[in-house]
Amino acid sequence: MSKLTRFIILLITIGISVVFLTPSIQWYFFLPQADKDLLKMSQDQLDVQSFNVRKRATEVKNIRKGAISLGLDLQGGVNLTMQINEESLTNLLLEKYDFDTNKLATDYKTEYANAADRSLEVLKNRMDQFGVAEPLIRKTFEGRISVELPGLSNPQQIMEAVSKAGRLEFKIVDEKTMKRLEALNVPTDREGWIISRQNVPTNFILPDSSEWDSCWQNDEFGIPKLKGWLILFKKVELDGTMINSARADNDQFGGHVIDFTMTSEGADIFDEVTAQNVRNRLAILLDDKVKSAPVINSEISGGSGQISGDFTMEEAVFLQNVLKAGSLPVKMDIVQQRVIGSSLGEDSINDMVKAGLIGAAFVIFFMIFYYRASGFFSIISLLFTLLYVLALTASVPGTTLTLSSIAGLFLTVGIAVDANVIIYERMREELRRSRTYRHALENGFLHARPTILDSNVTTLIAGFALYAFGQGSIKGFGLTLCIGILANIFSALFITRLIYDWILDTFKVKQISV
Amino acid sequence: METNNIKGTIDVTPEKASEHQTRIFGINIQTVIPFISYRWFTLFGISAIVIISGFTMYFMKGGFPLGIDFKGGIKVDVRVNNPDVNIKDVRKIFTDAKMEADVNTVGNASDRQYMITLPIISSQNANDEVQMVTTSLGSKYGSDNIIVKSSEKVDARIGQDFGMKAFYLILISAGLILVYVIFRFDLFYGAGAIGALFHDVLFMLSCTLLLNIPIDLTIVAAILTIIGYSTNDTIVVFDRIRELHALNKDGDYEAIIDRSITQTLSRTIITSLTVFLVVLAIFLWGGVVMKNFALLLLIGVIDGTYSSIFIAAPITYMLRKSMDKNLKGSKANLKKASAAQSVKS
Repeated sequence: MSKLTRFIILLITIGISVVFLTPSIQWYFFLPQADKDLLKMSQDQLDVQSFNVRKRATEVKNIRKGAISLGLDLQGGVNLTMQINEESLTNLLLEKYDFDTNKLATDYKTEYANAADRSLEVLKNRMDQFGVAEPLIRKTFEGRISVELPGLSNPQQIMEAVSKAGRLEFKIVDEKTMKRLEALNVPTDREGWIISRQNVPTNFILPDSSEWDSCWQNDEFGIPKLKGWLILFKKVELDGTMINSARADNDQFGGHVIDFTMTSEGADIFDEVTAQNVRNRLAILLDDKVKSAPVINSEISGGSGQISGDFTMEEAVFLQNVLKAGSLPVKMDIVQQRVIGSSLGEDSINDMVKAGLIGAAFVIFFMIFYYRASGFFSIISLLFTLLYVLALTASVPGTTLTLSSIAGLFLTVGIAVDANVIIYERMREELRRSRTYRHALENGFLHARPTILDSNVTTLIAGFALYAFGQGSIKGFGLTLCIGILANIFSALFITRLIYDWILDTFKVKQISV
Repeated sequence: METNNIKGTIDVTPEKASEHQTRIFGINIQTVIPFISYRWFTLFGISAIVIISGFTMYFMKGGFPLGIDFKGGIKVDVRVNNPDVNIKDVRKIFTDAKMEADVNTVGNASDRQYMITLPIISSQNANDEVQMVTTSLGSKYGSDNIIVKSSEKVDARIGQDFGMKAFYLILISAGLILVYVIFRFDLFYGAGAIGALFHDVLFMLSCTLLLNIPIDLTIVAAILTIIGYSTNDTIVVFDRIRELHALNKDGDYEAIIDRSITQTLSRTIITSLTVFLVVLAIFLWGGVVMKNFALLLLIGVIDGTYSSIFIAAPITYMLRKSMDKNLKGSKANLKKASAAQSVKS
């Protein structure tokens, strides 16, 4: 490769790094607090704000998405791990199976996994009520669910909110009032949901018996997103306990449907409600959020029905889970709880940065003292390593910087010079037997390369194992370690070499102290 | 590249006298240090002593000191804004309340910050124990003066799973590293690398026992980091052994290893030193949360360097010496030769 090509490659890598880092710099150094607070609003709160506010909120959200986020141990917050209360699940299932313990034993594993999925839906549905910009919720191993709520410190309130079972209700859509809105040319979407309450005229008066309810659907990542609004009668027609079973299925046209059955009590009420509301919509609400509102085509007697529509399999399974959440309201236990005060987080960042800078100063001083000019080059390549590490960290979505990953980062600084040390020591050896400096330089890099690659790949393996099989802070640490190693190999073999060639050729220097 | 005309080649020119020299911090090391001949002393001396004392401690204490990550429990990091507070009184508060609390100072005593660890009392309400701690302290020092910096509660159910996960994590890493080393080098080097790796794990676990550091997830991360670091170090030495052995197939294997270690010694020392300095800075100034993590890394850096020279290389040497048929002077080779001879006669 010519030097020009190598310079261009260097510039491209710097350019890409800057692009990846821009949102982080914007977020942490330039964005006013007022803008950041926009993210704390829940989606239905935001919907009633003015157009400019909503536009700004979207912009801020995009910046946030691209920025490196800080882990709970650095910004403070609450982390809960929840697990299904097995006793409550067993009791519920026993009742359902008429105390057939054999059936319970055979089905328990699947039911447990299903219950975990349902609980996840229920929890996701509730996340926006905490006023937290970035709640993080995910399944961990063995059906456990981990919730991270940055910036909060009162676990009691959260625990109450997360540990209660999901509440499923059925309400009838107030079609008359909806028609009135339609007449006022308020836009609706494909589902017949009102797209935004912004479009509703201010003089529009809601009947006392009705209410606004928000409609939600999961996006491609399974996160509930506000899709529109419906006007429902306040009266709860049926609740989840009246559902007996629900199952997503294929219909004869290759579409997806949800079959459900009612308890005997539910069947009677359902019969009556459907008879009175043929051609009206029946809204299914989970914790006060509309998840679906199918049209009642005819009276449904006998207590079993089918919801059909233009569903994908995911949507059908999701609705099945919603319906089941009502019929099998399992309780969740909190098996792990961490609360980190924001002051501790601040202290930790300050301490860590201080320690890191002192450590880096040690290394810089030592390298320049020991290797002179070459030591200085290794510091430049070290700076590039840090730039790449930060940029790569920002580019991997969902990566959070935790205390241990910052420790991993500084450890990278220590290990980063290793590749340079291998090269320089080899060059010193080669210099002792070579006639020319150029020859020693070539041989030094040539023989150092396999050593650097082999030795780093093993560390990379350990880092990868941490990332792939570890969890929580260990995972982040592993990722930082891997990124650090990759950046490090590139910097040592590519950038250090480029500096050498550039200095030797441009300034006609015969040799550089090593 | 402007320098294309000078291709990097392996120098096979007759060795100059200066080639045997290794310079470390300006000191010329004229001779090759006979590392391999120290093997009995290092393998069965130093390492054995630490690991055996670790085992002894293990049986005396009835197991590892586990953090709440693994055994379950409650940990409350609390600051008491009252000049009269001292750790003895705090401990007394909990013994009087019949709570099995373990109280430790965090940072300087003047910070008045304490880490209180206690077993789970109620599994129903997740916040009960934290409340109990703050009210107990609050009744003596004033409830306004109690600031909970962080709290953590881990159910024993989840703790056991963490323990198994950590164990598998170490086995998986070891397995993957072994496969890579066998693939890039050969079985003998692989055995040496894995021997050193398990030495590192045992050595560090022994140190947690001797220093009474409770094992939690950060400690597992430290051990895994050292596994990576130490193997890295081992590979650099192996790489040189392989290179010199390839140049001199019939040479004395012991001398080759000694020469390789001596030649790479300056690199080994410098790298260890830079990593050590960074970890030392984290240990001294990195804050209380990282203290144990950094301490174990400090031990690990020294141990990792030591194990690549005194554990990995000797294991490879001994195994190859007794089993490698292709190595001149190895037992297997001698046997093969004598077998061939007996057939002839």
